Amino acid sequence: MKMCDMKVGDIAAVTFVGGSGREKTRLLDLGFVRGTSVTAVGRAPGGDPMEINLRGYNLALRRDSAALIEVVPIGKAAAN
Amino acid sequence: MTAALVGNPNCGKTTLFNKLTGSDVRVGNFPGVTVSVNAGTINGLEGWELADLPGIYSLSGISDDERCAASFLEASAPELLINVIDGTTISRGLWLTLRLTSLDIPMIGIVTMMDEVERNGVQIDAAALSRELGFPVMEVSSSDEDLEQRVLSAIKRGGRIPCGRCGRSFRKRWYYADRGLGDCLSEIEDFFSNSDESSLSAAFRSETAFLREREKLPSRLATIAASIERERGMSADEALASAGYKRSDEICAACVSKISTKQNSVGLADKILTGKFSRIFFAAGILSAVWFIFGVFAREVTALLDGGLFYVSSVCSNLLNDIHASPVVSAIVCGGIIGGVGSVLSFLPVILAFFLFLSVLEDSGYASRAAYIFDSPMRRIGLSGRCIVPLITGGGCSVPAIMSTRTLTSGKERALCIFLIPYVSCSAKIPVYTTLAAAFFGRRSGAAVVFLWFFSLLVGIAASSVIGKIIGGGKDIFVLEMPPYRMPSLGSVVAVMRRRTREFISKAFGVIFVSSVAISLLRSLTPAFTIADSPADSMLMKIGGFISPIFAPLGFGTAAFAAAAVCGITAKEAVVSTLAVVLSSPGSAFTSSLTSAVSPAGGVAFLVFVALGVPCVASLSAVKRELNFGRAALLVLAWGTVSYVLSFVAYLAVRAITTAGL
Repeated sequence: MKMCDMKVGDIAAVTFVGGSGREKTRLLDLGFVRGTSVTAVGRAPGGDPMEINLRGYNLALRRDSAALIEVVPIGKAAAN
Repeated sequence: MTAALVGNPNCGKTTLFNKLTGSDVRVGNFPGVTVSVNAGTINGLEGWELADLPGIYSLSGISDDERCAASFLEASAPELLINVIDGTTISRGLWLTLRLTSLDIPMIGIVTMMDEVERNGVQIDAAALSRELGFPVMEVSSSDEDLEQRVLSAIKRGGRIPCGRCGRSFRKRWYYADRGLGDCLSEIEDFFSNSDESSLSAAFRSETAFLREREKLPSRLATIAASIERERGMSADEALASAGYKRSDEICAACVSKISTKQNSVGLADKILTGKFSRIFFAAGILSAVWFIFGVFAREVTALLDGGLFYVSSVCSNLLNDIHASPVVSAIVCGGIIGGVGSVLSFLPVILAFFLFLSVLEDSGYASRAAYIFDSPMRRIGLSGRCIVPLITGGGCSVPAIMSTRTLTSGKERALCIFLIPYVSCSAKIPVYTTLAAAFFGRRSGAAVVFLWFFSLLVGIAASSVIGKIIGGGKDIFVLEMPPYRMPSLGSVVAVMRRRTREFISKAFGVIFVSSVAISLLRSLTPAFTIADSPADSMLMKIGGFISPIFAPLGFGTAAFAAAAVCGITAKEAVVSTLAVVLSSPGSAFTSSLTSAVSPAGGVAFLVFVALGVPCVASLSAVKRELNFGRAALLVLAWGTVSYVLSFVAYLAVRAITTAGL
């Protein structure tokens, strides 16, 4: 599924990064490589952008950028 | 000898730069604040210069920051690289570290934010990191007392080229957890280093060739590169990043215990501040804070300064009288020079208050949150969430607002945001609206001012969508780092205020001072350079009379209003003060002088012209600094045209209403 479709609290692993040229390279530089675990932390009012946690830091991405990343769900964050 | 600080945006590199060189440079939690390369001599270390490179995520050359950093490294070939790694995001930061190690420059590593790392329950073993990376690494946190000492001794001890003299091919295999990839890159680098002078250039060129420019490689190497992609089922950049991050994960596993994969521990604060309804409350709260800082505090201080200057000026004119100086000299010194200094000083409380506001927002991390919340609506008007802070600031004063657009990474966005800022009526314009509205709208002046405020903003948004079509510009991917909330440190906030204020004074002082002196002289002297007995004889009125035909279609083609409109360029307050001087007649209130000097339609048109007009010279000098000449000229032209056209429309509309009504 696309990363933009994750629900808040979901954890998933990256399988593929799409896009072309600059966008893709930027996402790869930020750590969205195959196998990386990402957690959907929240969404801005209106659903866009979404806040993602990966590799210990939080990042906000717009829906169209998040849609470039394919992920496979691996669970939900423990409620805290 | 040069040492270059390289690291991710916001890793604490600039704080380190400040501490080591003693100069005030902007530090912010809003990524991208250091846009150009700052350099300075290191205190306590002879012969060394420190360069603070822009924060970058890698050397892919995607953004302006990365290209700037890469070209600096290639051109200046520093003797030492100081890789600053944010301890809280070390897993990501090591990716850049690994890219840097292929540059063959002696390196040392400094892991920052260790206090926060410890608070998160994480331990980083610097000795183990040094072993894994092959160069000395130390841990610091900004509150360390002996921070500078330790860093200076690390610089003196010198860096190490990762893996020493093991040879490039060994190093490539060592650093990329993917042998095939490493070997391929080494061969490509060998190919380039045969034709290139410096190994640094070879390193850059080989990577670019592998990633994007296969046609520059001999067919044998191009085939190898293609097969690497095929075997892994990934494109070249994916393969490189995968290998690099795999290595980064290996290093973190060996040196970092318990990497936090939980969200940054500000859940509660974040929930409150970005919750669906509370965000509106907090946004309103921030706006009110703006109005409070401006409207009350800054103006009170300004009034005090005005009083002080008036006192100085009268003492001065008494002195000059005592020594029988000519009245012209008196006008020049008291009205002109002291008045000029006064007008610069009157900007200061407002500027300081705003820079304080900005730096608290940025250092606390709220600026990123605000950008996150407002990105969606901002995009509908052609901007991004990052513009919300400059725009809110513009409600107080355009000058710091324009200066804060430096954090915007897209040139087009910066230009559009700067275009829109003056349409958020600044605190200097509000009293002008109030005074003029009181004259032309009587009891409904309050509603008129509010309407005008919103009208101005709407006009700006509409006009900016047109300008957006004229200005070209690339679309950069929108990435917003959301750092954890931090308590702004008094030291850095004060340092920022000092630097920004110094910058404002040096840029705008000349312009405000000169224009203010000029206006004051024009107001008090006749064309023959004698003291004008009545305002109508002054040079200002003569000039006003000369240009008034321009404003005739707008209904205020008189010398007085033309002069006031022109004076508004120096500072918006000057509009009212000029009108007060040139229209003054003994025995009648200002309001009635206004209404008798112009028709209601002309008066409203004048109000619209002032509201939408070209911003003051202080803002213009800030604009000139942030944009290239072409774009700045375009904006000025746009501002002028919009205000003229809409003023004309307002004149026609009001005239139609009043003739129909009467």
